[in-house]
Amino acid sequence: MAEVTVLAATGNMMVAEAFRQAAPDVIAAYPITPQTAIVENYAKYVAEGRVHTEFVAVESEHSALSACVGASAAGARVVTATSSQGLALMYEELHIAAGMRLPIIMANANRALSAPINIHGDHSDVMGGRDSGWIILFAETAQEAYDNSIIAFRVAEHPAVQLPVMTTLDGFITTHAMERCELLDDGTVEAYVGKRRPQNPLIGGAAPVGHGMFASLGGTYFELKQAQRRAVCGSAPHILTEGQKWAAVCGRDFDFIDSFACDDADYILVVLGSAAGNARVVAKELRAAGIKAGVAKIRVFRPFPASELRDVLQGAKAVGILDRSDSFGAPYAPVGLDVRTALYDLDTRIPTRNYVYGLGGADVTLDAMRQAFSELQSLAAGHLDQGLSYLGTR
Amino acid sequence: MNKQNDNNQAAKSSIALDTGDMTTTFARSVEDFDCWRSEDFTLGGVVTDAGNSILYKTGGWRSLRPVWDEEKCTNCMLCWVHCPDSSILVADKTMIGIDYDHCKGCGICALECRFEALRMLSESEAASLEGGQ
Repeated sequence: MAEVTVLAATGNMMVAEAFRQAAPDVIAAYPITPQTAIVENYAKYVAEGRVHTEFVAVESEHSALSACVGASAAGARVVTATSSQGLALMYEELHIAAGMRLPIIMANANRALSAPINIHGDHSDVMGGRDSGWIILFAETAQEAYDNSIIAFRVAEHPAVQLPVMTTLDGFITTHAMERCELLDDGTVEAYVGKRRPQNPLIGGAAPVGHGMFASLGGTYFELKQAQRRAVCGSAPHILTEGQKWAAVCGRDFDFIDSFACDDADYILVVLGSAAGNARVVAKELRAAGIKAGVAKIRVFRPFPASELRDVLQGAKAVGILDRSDSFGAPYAPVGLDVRTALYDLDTRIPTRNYVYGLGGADVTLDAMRQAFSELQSLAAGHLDQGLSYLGTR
Repeated sequence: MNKQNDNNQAAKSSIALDTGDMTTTFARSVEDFDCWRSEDFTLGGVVTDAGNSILYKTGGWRSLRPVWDEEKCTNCMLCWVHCPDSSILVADKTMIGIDYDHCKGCGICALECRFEALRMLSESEAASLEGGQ
């Protein structure tokens, strides 16, 4: 039976605890706001001898993820954490880690990208890596960041998955705000995550192997990328199973999408991460006023749960898609593109509006959510066109 | 031999982390590599039989080939030392020939040879000589 400690903790503290409990062999990381506290706390565990982890202090994020790639290929359980420019500097290794099919668990404190320089929360950094072949989880709260981080080990190291997993939490809002959190005992987490059983490790395997081979002429690259797409899409049932196994342990639900009042909803906002709470508060307010509002929070962003999302959204009269980043020059912002693509397969066209909100940590107010829901009603009534707009700018 | 475990069948199978022997090997022979489909590769394209690059024949890049005159050769091994592709074949401290499957015809061996035991011949000339025999 799991022992639960209730404590006041930040998202960063909870991710560091999750990492400690999973007992990784190697951590290679570089400090960057607002992630620093994850690695700082972990360094303390190392200094206090509470973990056996080899702490590799590197000179950049590029080196951090490179060291993780090497350690994971060697067969180690590997973690790191980063944010913003740090994740951008890892862009090269994101693709290498995924292409080499290496389980690595990386926490990302979602933060804006320069320029202009900004240290606050949005999803611009993660969205830059969304096509790299990583599994990407979004947390709304510190508690969810803890749960996602634990599930990430089981998913990444699953024999049929073998992919890196990014477990993300919104910069400052989730990384730094202190919440009531539940920490499970070490033994329970240890029993859940188990040990990594590496396939073809560089160290300790039955025979010498070669990782990261040249695969260019003759089409090998093409076939390996095809295998990679199959792996990422094929990871979905395992994410669900492993997530629900953890849900059975901790008593908190797990699904690709966290639906709030969507069953009979006319107007649904789709959202990632910490802003879901504000959307839900306004949805409740509207429900009390007789307006059928709902909120669909996407927890597993890659692989994208398109069919699950269609099931949630199919009865709606209008859908608003909240994006905390933009894809400049694209028809819509990142989440907007994916959600609209998912909806295209429905027989009935559901009108949508795509809202870019909260860039660079800009306040996400209840009024902004009210405005979005109000526009969805106009959209459904034919008084407003589909399209993209910035929500909450001056 | 376990076939690589990331196809759709695996996705449908029951879930267990403790699967015992996790070593994956090539699902099929390296000889018919050109026919491999995406599901035939090891996880992440890992090479599990070390040293198999010898099976990748790169001699087709060659436009000039070194021709060895065994009579003039003193087995000084200068060519063996300098060959960047390990294509000078040696047995019992004696040169026995040239590995044309991997020799790219760079000509370093012929340049280094002090005894005119190696000369460079164009591939077309070599082909016509062979054809004439």
